[in-house]
Amino acid sequence: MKKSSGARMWRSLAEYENDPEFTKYLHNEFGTPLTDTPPNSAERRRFMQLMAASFSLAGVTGCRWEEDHLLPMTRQPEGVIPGVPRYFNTAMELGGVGVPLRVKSYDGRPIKVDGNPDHPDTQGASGVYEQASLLEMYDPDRSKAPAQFAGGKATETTWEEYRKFGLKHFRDLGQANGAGLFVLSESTSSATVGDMKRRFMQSFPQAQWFEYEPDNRDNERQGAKLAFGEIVRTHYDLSKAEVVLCLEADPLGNGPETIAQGKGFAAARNPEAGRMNRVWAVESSLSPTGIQADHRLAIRSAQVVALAAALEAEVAPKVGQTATQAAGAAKFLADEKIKKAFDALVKDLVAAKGKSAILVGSTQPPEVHALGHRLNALLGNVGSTVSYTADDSNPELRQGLANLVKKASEIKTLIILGGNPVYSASGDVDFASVLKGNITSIHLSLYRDETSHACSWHLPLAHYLESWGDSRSFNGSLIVSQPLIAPLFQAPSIAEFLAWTTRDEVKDGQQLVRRALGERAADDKAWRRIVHDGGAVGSMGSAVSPSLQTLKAVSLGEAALADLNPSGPLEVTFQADPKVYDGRFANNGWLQELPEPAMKLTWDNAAFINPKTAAALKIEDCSLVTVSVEGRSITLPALMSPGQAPGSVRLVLGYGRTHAGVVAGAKAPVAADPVDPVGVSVYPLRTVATWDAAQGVKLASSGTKVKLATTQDKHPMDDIGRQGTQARLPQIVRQDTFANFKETPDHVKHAVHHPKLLSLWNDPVSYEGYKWGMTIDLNRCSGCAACVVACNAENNIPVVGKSQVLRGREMHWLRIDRYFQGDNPDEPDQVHNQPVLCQHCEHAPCEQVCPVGATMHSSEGLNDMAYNRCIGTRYCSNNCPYKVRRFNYFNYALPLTEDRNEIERMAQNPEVTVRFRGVMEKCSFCVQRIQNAKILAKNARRKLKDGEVHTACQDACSTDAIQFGDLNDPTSKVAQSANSPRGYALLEELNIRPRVTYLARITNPHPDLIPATAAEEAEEVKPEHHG
Amino acid sequence: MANTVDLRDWQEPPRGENTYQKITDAVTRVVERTRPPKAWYIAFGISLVWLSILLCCIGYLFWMGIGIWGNNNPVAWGWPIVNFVFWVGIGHAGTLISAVLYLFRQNWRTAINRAAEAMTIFAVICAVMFPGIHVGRPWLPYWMLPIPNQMDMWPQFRSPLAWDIFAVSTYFTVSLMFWFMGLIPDLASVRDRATSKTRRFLYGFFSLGWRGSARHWHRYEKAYQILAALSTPLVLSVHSVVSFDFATSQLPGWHTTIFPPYFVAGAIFSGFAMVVTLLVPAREFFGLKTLVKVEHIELMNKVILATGTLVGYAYGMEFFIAWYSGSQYEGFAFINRAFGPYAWAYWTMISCNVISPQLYWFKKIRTNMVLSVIIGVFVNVGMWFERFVITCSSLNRDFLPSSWGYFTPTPFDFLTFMGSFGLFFTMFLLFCRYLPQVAASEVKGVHAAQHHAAH
Amino acid sequence: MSQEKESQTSGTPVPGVYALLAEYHDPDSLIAAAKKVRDKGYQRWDCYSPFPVHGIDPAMGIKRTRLPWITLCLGLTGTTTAFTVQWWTNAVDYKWTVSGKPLWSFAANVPIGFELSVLFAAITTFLSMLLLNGLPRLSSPLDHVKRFLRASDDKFFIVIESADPKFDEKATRTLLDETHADAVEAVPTDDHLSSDRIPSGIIYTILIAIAVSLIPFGLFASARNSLTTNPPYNIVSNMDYQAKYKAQRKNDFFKSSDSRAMRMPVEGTVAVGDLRDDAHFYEGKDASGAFARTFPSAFTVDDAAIARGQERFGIYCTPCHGQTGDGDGMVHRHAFALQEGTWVKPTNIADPKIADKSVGELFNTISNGIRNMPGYARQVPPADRWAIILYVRALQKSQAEFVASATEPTK
Repeated sequence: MKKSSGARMWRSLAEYENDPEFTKYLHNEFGTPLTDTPPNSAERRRFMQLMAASFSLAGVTGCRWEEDHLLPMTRQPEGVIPGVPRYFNTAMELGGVGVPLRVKSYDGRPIKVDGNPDHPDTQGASGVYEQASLLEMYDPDRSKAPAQFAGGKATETTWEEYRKFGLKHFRDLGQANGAGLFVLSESTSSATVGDMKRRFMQSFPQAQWFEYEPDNRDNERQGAKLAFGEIVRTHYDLSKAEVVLCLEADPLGNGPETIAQGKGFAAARNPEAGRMNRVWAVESSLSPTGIQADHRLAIRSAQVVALAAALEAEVAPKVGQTATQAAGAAKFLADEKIKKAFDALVKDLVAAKGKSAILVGSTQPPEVHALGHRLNALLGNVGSTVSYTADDSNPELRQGLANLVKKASEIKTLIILGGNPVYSASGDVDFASVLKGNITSIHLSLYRDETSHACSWHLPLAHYLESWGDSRSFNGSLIVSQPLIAPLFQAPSIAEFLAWTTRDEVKDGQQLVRRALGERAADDKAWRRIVHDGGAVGSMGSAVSPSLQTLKAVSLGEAALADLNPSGPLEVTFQADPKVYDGRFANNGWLQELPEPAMKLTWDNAAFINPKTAAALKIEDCSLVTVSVEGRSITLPALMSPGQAPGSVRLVLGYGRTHAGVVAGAKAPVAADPVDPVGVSVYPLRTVATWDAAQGVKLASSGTKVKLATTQDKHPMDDIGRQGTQARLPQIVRQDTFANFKETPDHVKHAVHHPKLLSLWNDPVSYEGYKWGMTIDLNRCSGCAACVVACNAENNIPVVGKSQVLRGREMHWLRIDRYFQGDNPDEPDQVHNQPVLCQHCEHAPCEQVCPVGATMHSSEGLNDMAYNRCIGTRYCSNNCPYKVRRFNYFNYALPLTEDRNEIERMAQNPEVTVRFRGVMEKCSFCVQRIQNAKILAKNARRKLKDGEVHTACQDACSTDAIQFGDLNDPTSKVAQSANSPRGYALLEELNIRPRVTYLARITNPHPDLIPATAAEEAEEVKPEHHG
Repeated sequence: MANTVDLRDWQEPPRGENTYQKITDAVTRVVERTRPPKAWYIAFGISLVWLSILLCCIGYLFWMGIGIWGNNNPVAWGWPIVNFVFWVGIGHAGTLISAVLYLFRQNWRTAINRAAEAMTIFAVICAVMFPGIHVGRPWLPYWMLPIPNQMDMWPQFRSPLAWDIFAVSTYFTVSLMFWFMGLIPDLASVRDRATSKTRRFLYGFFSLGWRGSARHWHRYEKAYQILAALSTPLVLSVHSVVSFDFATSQLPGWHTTIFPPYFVAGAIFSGFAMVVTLLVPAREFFGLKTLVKVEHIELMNKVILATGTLVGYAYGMEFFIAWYSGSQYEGFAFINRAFGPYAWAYWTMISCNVISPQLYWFKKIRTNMVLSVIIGVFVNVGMWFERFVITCSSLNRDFLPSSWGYFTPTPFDFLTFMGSFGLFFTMFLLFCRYLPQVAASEVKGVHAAQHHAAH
Repeated sequence: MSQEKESQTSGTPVPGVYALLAEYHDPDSLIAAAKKVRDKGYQRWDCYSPFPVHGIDPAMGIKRTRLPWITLCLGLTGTTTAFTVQWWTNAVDYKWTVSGKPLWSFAANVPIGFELSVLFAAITTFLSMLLLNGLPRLSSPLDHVKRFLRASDDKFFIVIESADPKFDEKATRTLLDETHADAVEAVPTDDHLSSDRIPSGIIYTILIAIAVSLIPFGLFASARNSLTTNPPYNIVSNMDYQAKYKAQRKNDFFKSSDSRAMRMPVEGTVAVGDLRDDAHFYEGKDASGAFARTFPSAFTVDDAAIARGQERFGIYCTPCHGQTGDGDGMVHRHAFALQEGTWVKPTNIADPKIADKSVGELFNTISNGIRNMPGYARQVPPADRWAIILYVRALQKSQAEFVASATEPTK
């Protein structure tokens, strides 16, 4: 492997910077001490609110023991035992697609959200949004009561007040047949809301109903219409696909279908079983799929269409059909690297006829989707890897708001059901002024957000964990959501609100759902089963086989035809943020502090820009840039992002909230003590026409630098560091090509040359009972970070705020390391993900150095941490080679003890200690789950079976990259994968015997594209034997 | 005696019928003066200010948590530990001078051992403070002691930190006794010269009624000898144990077998430098030139030259071993030290510790008091940086590049460190004012011996 | 040692004279004089000098001190203590696995072993030096001889105590004169020294200090025997109280309703595995809704089930119904003893009326209770209820057998 380690490995751009300015920064004494502690002005305020610094020592309360109360149930229902968790199937709807969930309830309170294991769409896994929605439910900033707003000033009021107003108001409207009554709602697949909508329109015939969704799937639907003349939903079975081409599609990222697709992807990436698909990613910005792809082409978003067209033109003749598109004329296709890859791609697709899949991302224009359908048809994938179901959802969600505004003059009363249009309106739609007009506007939402403050009435809305409802999961099956707890603030669901407004005889949410489901739920028993199962089992959408229409040749714009010159035409892409989505999760601390998958950025958004392009535009890392399109402009920090296509700037939605809460930012009077917004809103830059990407962009750097809190590359990298990283990376993240793997499977085991690992002594413990261990498959991890949020939720991990992250004090027990590999910083050959958590070493270096024995080894091989015994010498952290230990430098849990956060306390897992300042903490392998499982097994007088204990991260993982269990049980999944030939221990040469085994990454490059170095490796593959 | 005192008054030759009395006078008049020189007041005032700053910092620390310092992940040990090792190092010269030089019958030590021992004790006090307050829950460090308790919570004795506790506290106790024992006869002579009753009582009380009986002297000398014999290995062991904190870990840059001798050499190095830095002004202000002679300073400068060279050798050897070990992580750790983000600290260390003492090859410089002080200060700066480099530059880039970071101190790091100097000098100045700075009885003994030999 | 001598022999002290004192101006004359005095065989005498005078020991005939041996012993004690403590605490009293290392290893204990040896030895040396020297001894008759004050400065003295058997004021004085003493003087005894009190200021300071230091103890004492309803002090709460809600705790967020952190499940929600669609198993009713006469299919009737039933019966039923189910349980007996007016004797489950009831009905009774018997649905899961019924059936059978055999006329 010596040679391959020569491949230049490096981690961030800062490493490549060598300008004097930067070198000065590197070598100045101690960096700049006085700027960030104590954090300045606004930053400090957030810091204070996140951890009310003024009472740090006082802990929970004064200086006396607290009185504690036990309040048992007077009439305890059958099957409810205090402290014994129960699980409920329910569902969360996001962007009109339902996600089937199973929620853990502790003492009748939802405490943890996971996917519904019995539903094909999640199979137990979940994403960051689902995981974090728990904290949303317990967010102290949620709206607690109705309010009336005048000039942004809130006057608290009550439901009684609203009823008084509403009864009269809607009676009058009813008499006027609802003339002038407008409704704006988010897109939903709920039959109940649909039913209520119908009834609403009956009672207000002239009312008009609009739907708006800032992040939507219009393109797909339009594309389907273009291709088939009808709207269908496309489903991909990646488990069957040998070759997967993602045209800016991100099947491993955050989206309604990704969880199911992740499972398929995992199944198709199992080298032990000889299954190894080949993933091609064509995208403008680095996505989880791009990270895992075998080949990745970074081109402008606008150029994807050209590539797709060229592909069609190439492929069609090869499969004996006539091409509808002209052969590729685009300049960038002439680029030698792209050309080579393109030809290989064509070969590959044709070779894998019937066993390939072309996925098109929702940010691509309809034409590309149409081409995608065409290609799938040409390659005979339809029926094998690609299938279609009917889709009746609204295909014009992005115009919704614009259409409404067009009718501004007619509006007398506007009901806004959820959503935050004032914030999320695109720049060309002046929705705010509509509300300023002399109209009655009523806004239902979880928070008193930007829209609420612009409306005359705000009404709190129930969280999905508090209300009855239904929706359609991505595969079209009916799923029902049941409340885990009675609404915390007597807030109605949308259906309940409509029922009241239409003076429906049915008021109760459950009844409304049953009525809407009709026959299906008529019978109590049947209904009970539906609720129990979390939906109607096997009620998939009806499969359809639409006939493809002949496509017109797409006309390619100037941008599409341009070459890859970094100083060429500029574009910006608008994408939903992988953390805060369209902004609705902005006030969620778990998500704000979650490192963004590609650049590990927290607590901010930035203009992700290709370094070469930046250099061409004289833009420095972390400096403020003004992005302007057609006269609209915003200013935000630029972040050098390797893997970003030249000339393409990635902007994410969801930041710059001004009325969110103490986490995301809130002006007075929203918060008594105003907090500056996190990041900058990019909505103003976007128009209905340039929804996903805008061309003809101008970038101007103001030169002023700002601090961006990233959890990796905390300090800029110099040459030394870069070379050091290069040298060791092949040993840390081991990989091999599929070809080599088939030859010598255990090749990766020899990446490190070290003497035989002997111990000076015999261990005093022989792990005879259970022997807990974990495996992490680098070949499957997409870096989606669902595991990180799951860990936050399960283990009460505190949110520490930007100033602390800047200091390198983030508390995540599980982090996902991201390494770039390649000679060229701007186009990394490869990007690696590596989840790192406590490795529970059998010879743990941390244990021997603790003077008080606060961390010791259990008889089952867990590296236990006794918080109460820890005095915080931090020696263990120094001696941990993985640096997975986290220290409570302040009393980070303190904000929870404030009265305003009483409600947030309910989000804390009662089975896990809420740590105090000054103690060390780290991954415990979810010891509380292990213990619970053991107790059950013991009561039943049996041994634990494999799969009875799951760690939180394992549950969340949609690609089954994480396995956990008893290594002593040879039949257990974990034992088997630990024995895989590509299994290796991180830093095994230290002889500390970690209990976590990493499965090396296996890439499956196309034979034509195997890089020289890799070829040499193949030569070298001779298992060495060391003595 | 004149009540108004200025420096000139202090420079006048000691009074007395004979040499013995002159010696007594030279030593005790400092104590007997009603007022010390203005310089003393100024110095003491400044020290008190810094001391109070230290106390405020500690108070704030207890309230807020150690997050007020710059420590982070990966650099979990920052300045507090650097300062701890720094002070412990300084605390080595005293006992070394009094014990080792005593065993080797180096008579010149008598001029400086008292002050050096005092310095040792105060330095160790500053040192032990840091580990005490740097723990996350500073109200609990006593958990590191084997105090019987109903929960059977014992210290974990495999931890070098547990060893540290014992080493440092033993060192402190023994040094203190050694120092006090040396003081007894001189306190007696202050008592006997005392003019006021209070003074007479207090010094009488602390001199334990010493009257210089020959039978007492006999046991006294034996005991002193034994203590010296015990302190010699002790002084070597203490910094070795401190170095174990680093050496027994497996962090590249810490995991080094040469640490014990290397640390001890460094300790003596910095210790002597500190003695010079303190003694030269002291002999100026308190007119001890007759006792603390230039030769003494020169001799110490020679020791500084020797140990400085040793330390330099250790630096070189570290690199060699790192390369020789063949471990890429070890190798990287040292390259990174010298040329990485902490290069500026590393080269400060090299120039202060390795280059500046080399000037002592020249007698002119060795015997130049001003230069001695300057170089002494340089050496101590350098030795602080040595500890900083070892601690931070090893921690900031260890095995996994993903967790690499950079340590940035906060104002509280600075204030706490400066404050510890406030504590040190407050104590040292009080010592100068109220206790005999030179072991008069020993000096007399040495004089008698020489006188005797002369006959 | 000198003290020991004193105690051995004491001559007839001359009243008013404590000793005779001779002053010399340099060590050599002192040594010379000392030799003379030694040869005269005086025992209770001593030399005083501002520094250890080289060669005085032989001149006075002082034996070598045994200090080093004491030091050695205590030093070794230190070593042993260190190793014992480390071994006992880490390898015996509280065994813990650390980095997979052996519970006890010599190497790891060496540093502390060494340190403690030194510590013990050093303290011993210092203390025994004082002890053997009889220090501290704050006052002595010598202190009141003006010239003697220079013993700590520049003069050398020989003092011969009047308590010495050989002491004779004249003879001794002449002896001392012969030693070329610069001066010879009688030291008065130490009985009329009112002049040398401890300064009052210092006394007061000490007294006040003592008084102040007693205050906290006083507080503790008073606290011990005073009553208070306040919870105890807890300055740093550490992790005693955590911002989370354990089972059945209080949560003021729900003040308006019941302050319970534990919430009732929402009407109509169904927990996973709580479908309960098998009416027979969960309600004891058959398809027609009548009480089932058979055990549900979901429940397997076998010995294990009976055993389980017996166990559960023992736990939940015997208190009232008694071991044999005849209704003569502890509770009943107690209630009976107390003559509880309202008390109704628990049913004898062997009673034919009961025996004839369908299992379904029994299940219903156990689940929902009857008369003053509460429902057990909450405590006993359905399967266990069925098991109990199974055991009850067995009991009924055996009882019936018993009754039959008892009533049958013996042949």
